[in-house]
Amino acid sequence: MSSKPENKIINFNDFHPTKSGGRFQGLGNLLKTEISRWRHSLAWWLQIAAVILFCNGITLMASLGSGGDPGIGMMMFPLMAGFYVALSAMTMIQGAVVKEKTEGTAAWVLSKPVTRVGFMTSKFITNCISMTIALVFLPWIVAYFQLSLMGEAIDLIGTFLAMGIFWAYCMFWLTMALMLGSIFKSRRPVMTIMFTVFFLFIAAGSMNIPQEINFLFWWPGSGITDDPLFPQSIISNMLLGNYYVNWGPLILGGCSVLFMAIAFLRFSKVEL
Amino acid sequence: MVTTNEFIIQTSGLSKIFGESKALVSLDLKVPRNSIFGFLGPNGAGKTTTMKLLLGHIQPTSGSATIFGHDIVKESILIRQRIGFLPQEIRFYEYMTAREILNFTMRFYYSGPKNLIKQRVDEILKLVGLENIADRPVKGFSGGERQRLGLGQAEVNHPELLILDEPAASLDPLGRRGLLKVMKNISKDTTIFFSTHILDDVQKISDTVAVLNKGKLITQGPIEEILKGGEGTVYTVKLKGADVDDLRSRLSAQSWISNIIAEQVADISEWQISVTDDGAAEDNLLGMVQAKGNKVLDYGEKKVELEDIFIKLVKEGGE
Repeated sequence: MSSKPENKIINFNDFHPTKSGGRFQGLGNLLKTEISRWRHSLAWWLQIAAVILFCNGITLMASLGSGGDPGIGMMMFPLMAGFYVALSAMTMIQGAVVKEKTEGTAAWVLSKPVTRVGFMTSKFITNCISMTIALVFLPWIVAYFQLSLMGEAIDLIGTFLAMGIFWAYCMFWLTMALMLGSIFKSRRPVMTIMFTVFFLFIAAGSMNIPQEINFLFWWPGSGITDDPLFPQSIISNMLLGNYYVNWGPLILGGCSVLFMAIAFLRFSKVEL
Repeated sequence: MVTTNEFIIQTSGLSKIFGESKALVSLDLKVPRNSIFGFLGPNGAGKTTTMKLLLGHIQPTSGSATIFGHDIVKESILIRQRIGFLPQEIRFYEYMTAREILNFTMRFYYSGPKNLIKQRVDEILKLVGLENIADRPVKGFSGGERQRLGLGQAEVNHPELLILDEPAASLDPLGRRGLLKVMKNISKDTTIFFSTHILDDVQKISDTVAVLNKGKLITQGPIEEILKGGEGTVYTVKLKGADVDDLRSRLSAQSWISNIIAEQVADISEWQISVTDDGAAEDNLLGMVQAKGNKVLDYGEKKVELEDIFIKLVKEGGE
């Protein structure tokens, strides 16, 4: 270590102090750093390749396997994409907050002029952007062209509406991961709870749940509508231009808002 | 609540209870501006808890504290804008390089100009001796390199107050010496509040200390006063051919001598003589031990070590 500090070379009055961000102080720097990391991260691009390979690839294989029936592809794609989102949330996004808490990086960052609201917001925004691009936008655009080329009359507006519903489903998993991360001190309970919820969603599809409460267990893979006029899943209906929606996706959206509120509240008091 | 300019940190009855465990009990601490304040205590004394409270990482159970006159609970952001912190076990984002970490840290305080930020980052890399590995990801760094980077990121914004939690704990002797030099230089215009259990470091660079044990403050004050507060002045004497009983009785008769310890091996005797009046001792003690033909092999004032005082205080305060 050099024993000669050179503090006096620099006049600190020449620096431009960072503007106060109020309740979101430090958010800009955290976002800039995290987003820059993605752009230069091979892992993130591999994640995009994997999701397209998994969701769109299986959709293609299922369609070809059924003699080129695009209806099978339309059923398979939301199912695979829904499965992949839950899997990603349980394996990767679940650590967004709890990992930083247990490893001590949250304590390091929060020793700087960063508010806890700013820190949690950065986790939400960065993961939201990442999920929107990697798990919603790109695979859905590929699916639109894929299904169209196979001869299905896919409705463009319906595709965007279906994407919106699917995005709400993604946010459900993201906000649940952030909320649980703010509550628990280790990854195990976070993963256990997320897996249990996912299991309930899947199991609900194979159980004789009364129509009146079926929508409570809605997910893109098992989201059969409760209206006999629209016997397919909500997302399949949307893709065909039948703008049908039930309470299922709306409840998921409501849960996301509640989860995020709990995450902010809990993280504001968490001891680091 | 506004503090005087004299003290940069002031706590009043600051307490923290975790469940049944009292981690900190009514701490009244005053850290003078421009001091190097050594915060001492055995493991589990409450040093790290105090630092976490000061940073707003945990909330006090009762009591209050201010830094720069700002309340640690309500105005934590205002405080953190003006301080640098090195935790006991610092963890960085492992994918970042040392340079990226310093840039990332710097941007929380300053948005520009870019050339000045770059200059400051280069300066800090040089200060902590990491310029040769500045562009390597920190996941490959050794404990010592991480600690130096930790000190660098704490100092990069040129803070008014540096809070360092066991800064030398993971350093080898050379690293420790370098760290102490850097701390000494930084202290010219920065107050340093650091915790440690390496008492030698404290004695070398601190001007003020506080001793904490089992969550309670035992003492605080200028280091000279703490050292004086031990056993008074102690003289060590080594004699050849002395009559131990005779000398002991002559010394015991003096009102300014408070304690005598003598050990004899063959015709060599070693003495530790505690005195209450330094003037009387300077005038008379050497003459007394030389009397009757005693040969003085060694004579001097015993240097009181902080370690002795620390052990005494901790034993008195908590055992």
